[in-house]
This record gives sequence, structure tokens and C-alpha cells, in this order.
Amino acid sequence: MKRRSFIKYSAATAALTGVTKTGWAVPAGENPYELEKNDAETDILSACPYCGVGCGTIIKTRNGRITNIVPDKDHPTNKGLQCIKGLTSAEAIYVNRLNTPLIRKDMSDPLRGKVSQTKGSYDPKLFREASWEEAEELVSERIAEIALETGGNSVGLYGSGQLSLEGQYLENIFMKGVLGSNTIEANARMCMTSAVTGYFKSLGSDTPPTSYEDIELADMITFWGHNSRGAHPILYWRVADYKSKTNIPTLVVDPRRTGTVMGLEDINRFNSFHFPTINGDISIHNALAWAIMDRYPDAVAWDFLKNYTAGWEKYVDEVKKGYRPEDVEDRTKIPAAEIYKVAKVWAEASIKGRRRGSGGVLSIWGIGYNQHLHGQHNTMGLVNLMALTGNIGRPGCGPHSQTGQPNAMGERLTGGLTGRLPFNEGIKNVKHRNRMATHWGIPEARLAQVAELSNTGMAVGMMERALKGEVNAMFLIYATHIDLPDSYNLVRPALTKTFTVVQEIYRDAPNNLYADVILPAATWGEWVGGIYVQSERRLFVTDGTANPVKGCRPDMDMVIDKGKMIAEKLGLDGDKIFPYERKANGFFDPEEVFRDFLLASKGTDADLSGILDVEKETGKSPYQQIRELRGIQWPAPTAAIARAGGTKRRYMGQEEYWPGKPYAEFRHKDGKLHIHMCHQDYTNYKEITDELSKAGTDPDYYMIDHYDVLVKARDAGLTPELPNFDQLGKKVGECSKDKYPFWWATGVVYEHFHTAKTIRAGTTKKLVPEMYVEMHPDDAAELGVKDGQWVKIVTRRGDLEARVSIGLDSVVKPARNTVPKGFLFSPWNLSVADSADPKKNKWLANGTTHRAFDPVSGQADFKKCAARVELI
Amino acid sequence: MVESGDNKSAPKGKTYKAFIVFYAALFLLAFVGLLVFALTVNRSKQPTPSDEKKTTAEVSAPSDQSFGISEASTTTVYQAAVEPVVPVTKEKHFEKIKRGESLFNANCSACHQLGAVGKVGFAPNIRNRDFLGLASDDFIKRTISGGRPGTSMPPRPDLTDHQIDGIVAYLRSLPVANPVVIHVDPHKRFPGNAVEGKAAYDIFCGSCHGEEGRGYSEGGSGPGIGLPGFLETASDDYIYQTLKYGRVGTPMKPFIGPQGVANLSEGEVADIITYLRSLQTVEKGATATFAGAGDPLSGEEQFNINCSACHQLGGTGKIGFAPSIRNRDFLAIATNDFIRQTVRKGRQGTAMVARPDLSEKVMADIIAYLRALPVANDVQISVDPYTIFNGNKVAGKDKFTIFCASCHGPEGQGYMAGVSGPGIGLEGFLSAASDDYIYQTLKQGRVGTPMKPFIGPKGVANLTDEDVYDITTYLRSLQIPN
Repeated sequence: MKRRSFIKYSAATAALTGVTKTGWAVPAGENPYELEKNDAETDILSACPYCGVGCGTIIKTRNGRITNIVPDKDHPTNKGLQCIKGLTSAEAIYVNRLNTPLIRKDMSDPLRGKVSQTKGSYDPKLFREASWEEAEELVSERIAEIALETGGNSVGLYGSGQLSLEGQYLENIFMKGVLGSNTIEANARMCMTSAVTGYFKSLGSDTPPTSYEDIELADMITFWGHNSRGAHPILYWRVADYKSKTNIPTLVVDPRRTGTVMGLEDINRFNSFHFPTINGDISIHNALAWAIMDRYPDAVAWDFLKNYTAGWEKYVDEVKKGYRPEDVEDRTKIPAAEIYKVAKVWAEASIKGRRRGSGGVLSIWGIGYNQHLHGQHNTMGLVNLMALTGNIGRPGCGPHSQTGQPNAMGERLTGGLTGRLPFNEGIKNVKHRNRMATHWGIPEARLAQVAELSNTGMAVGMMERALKGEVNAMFLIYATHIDLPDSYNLVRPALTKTFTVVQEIYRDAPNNLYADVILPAATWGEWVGGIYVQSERRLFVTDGTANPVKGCRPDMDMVIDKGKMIAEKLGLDGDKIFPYERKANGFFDPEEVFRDFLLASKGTDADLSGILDVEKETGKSPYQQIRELRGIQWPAPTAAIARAGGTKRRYMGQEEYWPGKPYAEFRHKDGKLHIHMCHQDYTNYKEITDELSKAGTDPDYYMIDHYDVLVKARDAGLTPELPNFDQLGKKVGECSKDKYPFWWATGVVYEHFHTAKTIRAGTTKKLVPEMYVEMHPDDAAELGVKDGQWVKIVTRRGDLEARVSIGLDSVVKPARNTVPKGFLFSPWNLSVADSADPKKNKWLANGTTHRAFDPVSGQADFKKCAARVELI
Repeated sequence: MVESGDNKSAPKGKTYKAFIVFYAALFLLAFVGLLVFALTVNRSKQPTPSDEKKTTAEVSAPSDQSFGISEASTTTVYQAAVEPVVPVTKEKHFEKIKRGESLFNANCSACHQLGAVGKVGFAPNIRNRDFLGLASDDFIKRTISGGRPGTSMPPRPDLTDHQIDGIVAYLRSLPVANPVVIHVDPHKRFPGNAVEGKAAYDIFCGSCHGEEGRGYSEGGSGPGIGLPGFLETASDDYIYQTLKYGRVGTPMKPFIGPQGVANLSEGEVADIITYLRSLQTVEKGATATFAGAGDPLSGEEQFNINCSACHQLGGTGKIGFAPSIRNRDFLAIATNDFIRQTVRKGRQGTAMVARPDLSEKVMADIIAYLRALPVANDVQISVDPYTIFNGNKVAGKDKFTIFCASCHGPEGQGYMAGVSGPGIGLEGFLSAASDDYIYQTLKQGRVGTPMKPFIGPKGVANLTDEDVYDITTYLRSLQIPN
């Protein structure tokens, strides 16, 4: 079917099916949605749609409809196990779905200075239904106009780590190649970019060098800012099982006593350590380094430092000068004796691993560790310590960042971020840029122009630029805006001003509040398929039924459509840039895009062209190879490596035979691991945080205009705010209105993934239904509030309501963690579980958070706001 | 740098010492294995003086260094070893475990794997800390003798109590880290609502254990907990405690408490248990005789569930483990009744157990499947089931020793003797195979397997008919008289 006629056809069917019920309410009855096809029962191989562990999942279908999710017992990651989110993920597919394009009657038109007066409201009367043809035409016309008038860089895109790799790859071509914009961001920015930039600085290229199976080879496992029991349960269970079997020592660095801490202590409390630090990670790395050098010098890998690292002398020198554990207790918040205890087991494990040639210390961290003003330094500081003790470059040890999104690694690999190109290269790298221009069918000069454009401040900066009028249009694709900080003062006003196009699946999604055009998308499982990349660099298929709810289209198809249309309007050859045609089933074939991606990877450090070589030899398609092997870990530069399932571990020659490998021991030009000393210094703490507190409170204070403050705060390892500790202990209501005595952190709860699907899946919604705030019993007593009571958490920028949850016996579910005194915690997952309608929405966590971000990684600090507790 | 200088000038003695510690640690690990036995044997009995000396030496060696193997792990394995204590004399118990191990390897390991570690989606892990903490000896014994009808775990009425005791003793002797003791009250009941229970089961259990708890046959990772065999053996509290503790190291995580997949309330668990109990009363699979032709498709499914663990998918067999039965010559020589009898009666003394539980329909389906498997260059062989050869037993024994024993074992014990050929001296085989079946096998061989012809010019040897009569007569002499 030709494209034109298809669009006509689908417009006709949309009209025929008569999408008359435009109400926001969830439609009654089970499975009210009509599907395109009615196929027989089949099992579909897929990766779980939730976290970055990437469990193998089998989708059960009946009559073309997804009915159940079963863990894949043959997948090496989860081996037949899945957590409650994955097990119930089918529940969230056929509920509350959009199935026709909607156009806001009163649209924002930044070129003519018009701001919609109806944004932020939920009333369906404010929208009109449209055909796909009309909606796409409107979008392409408006976007092309904006790109021509105010430049491509005035169009922004917020993408997602839940899009397939193929979709991400094409969005990047669309933004940088077609529109000529460098303003492309994704929720990976709020998730992993601190690890990304840390890896680049230390190792020379992105992503963990490790594999999950290093867990079962390690002599000690440490978790940094990572409640893996909640966020990545499969990983936690693998660690707990291994500890049960072998009694290896473990360390958890987390302000809360989480399920991870308690679960490991249950196994063996004598070698399960817990550092309840707040913001002290960098000082802890350095103090451990000091203690190991001083007391256990045999554990220091001098040969490794001398031969394979650069910058170690300065590091050793400055650690010795300033980080005696006793001297930095003000920052670590950990008694020196505890540091020495951990230093001892760390040293023992390091020596054991080195002697055996396998094992040592494996350090895993999660999103909480990245979401700091100094997130990049957190990664670098940890890599420094790992390098000092030689825990890198052999099986069973190494730094391992664990992503949040199932395909955040895809976003990183396809370079769908400001200034990035696919395959771990920046757009300033001329040679690589020209190669990509050729692959993409884009004039080299066009990409060269993009390289000169800036998107200062990245995701937060993009919103600030929109407020300033520098960004006029915004795409939100498979990503919610409520994961961005300071919603009320920053994100929502910005989206009100821009011409905003959202690709959404749910009717009452918060993105729709600010949308000018809503395009109904097909979601995971019902799309055609694509690739997700897990945290151990494993590419795995996410096959779908190719049978979405009638009227919805896969995001990848939408980017090809709009890409071709807008390219034509901008005088580019759309068919050359997107040389794809719809197939007989009415959808584009993601495998065609994947082949182009594989071809373009040749010669890079993420070379995957071996998969194409295997296809030539055996005729097995790339997806089929990946299915049969249950994933291929990049790089796979040769047929032999691809056939073996890719590269398990990188660096120090752990890769298999790879002719023309573009790097030596590490990815830096000099082949070395770069050690950069990271400091923590609280001397000017108050002064700097006072300055930072203007963000979100002074409407004329833009963070992107005060980079110097961010850099100062980062270099000193500070927090965005400093609570008024002297006000602690006061009864609720007695604290003055300009004081914020508590630390206030957001995070995730085991039962939910982000804010969309699990709050709509019956089971998980029932398990943890309400926004809560974890509180220390002494704080509750001093405030005079009780367990289960609803209170208001107030920060300088906004407030939210939450139920007080005290300890493990709380009446508020899940009651799985305890917090230190003076510290509050809430899950952001339940942000719109009450209602997305701003009039009724009282739980929006990011209405309260601070927009300060790491100046290099762009990741915001959600973990350490200052807050006050009030009665409702 | 001072540090690098230090390192360069590090005394060699230190490195040497470190090496000693490392090897001492390795040795210690190996030693722990012995220690396990020594301690299992009798807690009250002190180790022999030489043992004691070694123990102290090994344990103390690392402690005078800053780094050695962590004391914690040593202690725990030591504790683990203390756990399964049975107060019998040293020698007797040691032998019992040894006997149990060989019985386990012969009868159970095909599915439960060597070391009883199990295989996800195939057979549960039973050297598991939580399973062993939870299952009583009686539970294990009843499971072995009664099997799990509807799964590939067959009833084993042929194993004596004595033998089963050995298997239990072997399982109990396996070292388990961080052992737990779980008290199960076999009389406690968990009355609940079966309808609610079904809803909860479908959400929390069904993805792995299959619809109505049918287990592996649904393709999931969990065993069949809705099958009557399991439900008759497991008490309510056994199920409750399993949900509470999970099975460490397996996909079965806790479902009660903060560490689990979900934190189910006692009421929800009672509902699930009540639902499972409601499945127990449902009649599963008729055992009536079946006269029609089998359905090869359903036969394939049944074959994969019941037979493929040993005979492999597609019936190709595995040398030294299970014979190939998708073999041209086997299928030509073996009649349907031969296959049927073999499955029904099993091969006593081998891992091929009797399957009286399979319905006639299932039997017919499996045979239809085997017959439908494509074989190249089909041959026709007719076997006379009545002829009896009268040869010389003594001469037959000599010939057997020369021509057969190196593959089939000195007395035809087969795989158990560690050889590549099946047990043709075993009762099960001999009562199913006629003399002519043996003759034709020697004549034809089994193409594609190590069994080559032994009669005629193409064979390993060109035996005469008389030689074959002698060998057959010898084999018959091994058969236990009725």
C-alpha cells in the first residue's frame, strides 16, 4: 500500500470506528478497544518494558491481544524470574487509551506571540478530533515554519529510554539531520548521564565494562545510592542468592535502611555493611582510598596504576593530604572505624581477585547516585577507587551502572542527546560526523552547522530556553514531562509557551495537559518490535503483536512520516534520508532500520557489524540471531564475536580477537584510564546554596545564566540546598514559613515503574496506591504527626500531600524501609496516581524539586531538597 | 613516588608467603568438603587427631596475615556442615550417603541434575537450602515413591525403603550455606476463599506455575503445584512457609514479607492455598484404555514432557546416557508393543522408570510420534517373538566379555557401569526383548550409534549364528527367574 492511500485508509477507519467517546474517564468494561487483527495464539519473545535490567519476557497473546506475561526461563539475565511489575505489565496495555489524533482548539503560536489560554486543563471540549492526515500535516507545517523562521535549534525534543533503538536512531537523524537542531534531550538525561559523562572522562567511552554474570564471580559487592531490591529486584536477588551461597561481604551506601540493606543483613549481618550517608559519596571513596593505602598497602594495584592509568600521582597525593577518615567525618557522616572495617574487606576482596585473575570488588550504582549536582564526579570518584585497588579489567569486578529505563542504553548508543552522535562519539568529531552524514544521507555542512549550535543546560536548559523564547516548539515522545524538576515554575510554563506535540498512549497522561497536538501511539508489546539495550550492553528484541489498538501508530512510524514530510518542506530529500516503505501489515519494518544502524556502526568502538557478517554467512536475520542467542552484547565487530553473543567485558584486552580495534587498553587516545581527583569541600556551602536557592523562586533567575555557580557547587561536592537544621524538633506549624529543616529526597518504590503504566495496572496500583512520605519516628513525635496521617511537604518551590509512613510496621504500604532522623523520602512514581488534572493533583513530586543540575552531565539533583512538614 | 618504591622493594618473602596463604586457602576449600563428611558423621565424635591438627592449621593460617580467605565464609560452611546430623555410627552413615549418591545419580540426576541443583523449567532444585529446611524426610520419601502424576516425576514403587533412605541421607548430606530451620505444622489449615484465591493465583503465581498450576507442561519456569501429586504431599503450612521463605537461588522468591516479589497478606495466602486445594479434587487425565490411532502432535508434546529429559528432544538419545530411539534400526526392530511394554514397565535398575501413570491415549500418541519421525533409508525387519535359542551359557559369557562387555559393562549393567551402551543384562530389557530381537539387533546394528553390526562382513566382528545363540543364552541366564 502506498503511503498516501494508507493514510487515507486509516483516516477512513478512524472515522468509521466512530471515536465518539472523547471523555477523559477510563472507559468501562474489559478490553473495550478494537484491534486491527484477530490472530491465533502465539508466544512472543521480548524484553520487559520496565527497568534497565532487561529481563527476558514472553508475551502471551490470544486473538491478537496481549493476555499475559511470563518470565523467559532461557534468558541469561532473569532465568525464569520476574518482579511484580514485569509480571503484571500486560494489565496496563488496554486501558485508558487514546485512539484518535486530537488538536487543541486554542493552540500556542510562538511565532505570532500567542500563548494558549487553555493549557493545563483537562477538559475534552478543548480538543477536536482529527484524522491522521490532518494532524500530521498540521505538525509538519508548523514545525517547518518554526525551523525556517527561528532556526532548527528552536525546536526541542524530549525522547525516551522506552522507545526502541530504531526509533531513537531515527529521532536523532530527524532532529540533527533534518531540522538541524542540537536541542534533543531524553529522559536518559535525568537517569544515567552522570554515569555516561563519568565513564567518558574516566574510561574514554560510555557504558559499564561489566556483565551481570560478574555478580556470581565477585568477592565483594557494593551498592552505591542504589536500592536494588526496589529498583532492580532481579539484580538484587541474584546478589542475595550469591551471598547466601558464598557469604561474600557487601556494602550498601544509602541514607535509608532499605530492603536491600535489610535483606543482605538477614543473610549475614556480620559482613553486610551499610553507610547511611547523605551526599558523602565522594568523601567516602577518598576516605576508603586513604584507609586502604595506609593500612592495607598490598591491596593497592601499583603496577596497574603505573602502566594503564594517567593522573594517579595527583590522586594519590591529594587523597593522602586531605581524606583521613577521621578528618572527613563531617562529610562522609560515617564513623572512621566503619570506614576502616570496609577498607579491610575491600582490600581482602581486591587481593583475592587479583591473585585469582577473576573476582574482586564489583561496584553497582543506580539512578540515585547519578542524580546529584556532582553526579559525574560520583562516577569518577568511584572509578578512581576501583582503579587504585585494581578492580577493573577482569571478570568478577568493575564499575557497573544500572540504568533505569529499559532502553536508556539505546538512547546513549544512538546518541539521541545534545551534542552526541551514535556510537559514543560527539558531534564535534569531524571524521565521525562526516561518516554519519553519509550514512544518514544528509549534507556534511548541515551537520557541521548543528555542531556549532548549543543547548546550554541540556534538559533543564531546554526548558529554560523555552521560557526565554529561544525554543518555540517541543516534541514529547514516549516520555512524560513530570520526570523533570521544578514542574510548576519551569517545565509547565515552558510547555505552555511552546507549540507542543506529544506522542502519547493514555487519555489522561499529564503530557496531554500541555499538548497542542496529540498523536495516539502504539505501545510496547503491540508495536512491530525493535531492539532494547540492557545495562550489560545486551541488545535484545522486543517483539510485538504488530497489532495495536485501532487508530494508534508506532512511534518509529511517526518519526519516518514526519521526517519525510518536514524534510520535503525544508528542501531535503526525505526518501533518501528515510529510505523505508510501509510493509503489507501497514507498518514500517524496524529490522530494516536496524540493519542500517549496524552498518553505520562499523569501525567504531560499538562496532556491531559482525551481526551483518553472520547474516551473510547463514542467512539468519539480525533479529533472529539475537532471539536465538537471547541477546548480543555490543561490541560485536566480527562474525565470530557476534556468534558468541558479543563482548561480555570490555577493556584491558578482555575483548575477543578484534582486528582494527579502535582503542588500546582503554578507550582514551592514550589507551589509559584517566584518574581525575574529585573533591568534597563544605567551606562555602551556605553561600553557594543560598545563591542556588534563587532557581525556581526568582522568575528572572535562570540556571543556564549561572553556570559558574553550578561548577563551584559541583567542584565542592555540594547539594542544591541546605536545610535549616536548627529548626528541627519543632512541632508542626511552629516552624517559620521561610525555613525548611528536613532533607527531602524522591526515589522509586518496588511496586511501580515511573509514573504511567504501573499506576494503571490493577495489581500494582492496589499494592501501593498512595503517595507517602517515609519519616523517622522521632521526627514524627517531635512534629506531633502520626503514622498514616496525611501531611503536606513544602519546599521553596511547591508542595505535595503524602501519608506519613513510619518504619516497617506502618499502615501505609509498602513499609519496607526506614529513614534516618531529619530525612524524608517519597516515591515520585505516584505523582499522578490521584489524578493528572492539576485541579485535583496533589501528589506531584517534581512540583517541589530543585532544578540545579550537574554542569557536565545535565542531570538534576532530586535527592537533597530542603523541606518543611505542614498539616493539610 | 614513595608508594611505587615501596612496591618495587617489597621483600620477596612476602610474596612467597602470600602465595602460601593462597594455596592454603585453596586447599582449605577442598578440605571443607572432607570436613563436611567428617562432621556429618557424628557431631559428638571429635575429629581424629590428625584431622584436628589440619583443621586448626588451616583455619589459623590466614588469620596471622592481614588478608586471607575471609573467616566468615569458613565459619559458615563449617556451620552448614554441622546441620544435617544423624546420630549413627560413622562408617554406616558414610556408606549410606555413598549408596544414596549412586542411587540418586542413577535414578534422579537425569532431571534433577548432578548435585541435585535442578534446572529451571524442568526439574526443581532440591539441594536447595529452603527446600531442605522445609521438606521433612517423610515428604521426600513420599514424593519419591508416589511420584508426581502428570509430570515426568514418576512413582517409584520399585525402590525399596532402604534405597530411598539412602537418597534422603545423600540429599541431607549436601553442603548448604546459611542453612535455615523451618518449622512446618502439617495439621495447620488455611481456610480461605477459592475464588479470590484464583484471582490472586493468576496474578502472582500463574506466570510461572502455569494455568491451574499445571507447571512445566505450560512452558513456564515453575513446577506443577496444582497437580494432585504435589497437593497430596504438601500440607497447607508447607505451602505457606514456601511462600514465606521462597527458594534461595531459584526463581521462586518469597511472596510474604518485605524481601519478596509481593508482600501478600495471610488472608491472600489462605485464599491461594484454598484455591490450590480446590484443584486437588478435580479429576486429572483419564487412565482408561485407548483403542484409536495416536496423535503424533500431542505425542510430541507428551514425549517432550516425559521422555526427552533422557532420550533428548527428537529422541536422538545421548551416548552413555540414554539410547537413541529415533533410530532407523530400532524403530524397525521394536514393535509398538515392545515400546509400550518398555514404557509401562520401565527398565528396572536404570533411570528408565516404569510409567503406569500414563494413559493408553498418551502411550498411543507417543508411539505415533516416534513412528512419525522421519528416518532415512527405511528398512523392514521382522522379528520372531517366539523362537528361543539354546546356546552354551559358559561359552556365551566368554564371548560376551570379548565382544560386548566393553560397551555394555561386564554383566550387561549398562550406563551404571560407566560405559557407553545400555543395560542389556538388566531384567527390564531382557523381559521385553525376545531372543530374535537380540539376534536381529546384532545383525542390523543401530545405524548412527556406536552399536554396529556383529554379524556379517560390515560389522565389528563377523559372529556366527552359534556365537549369537551362546551370547543370548548367557544374557538370559542373568535374568532373575520369576
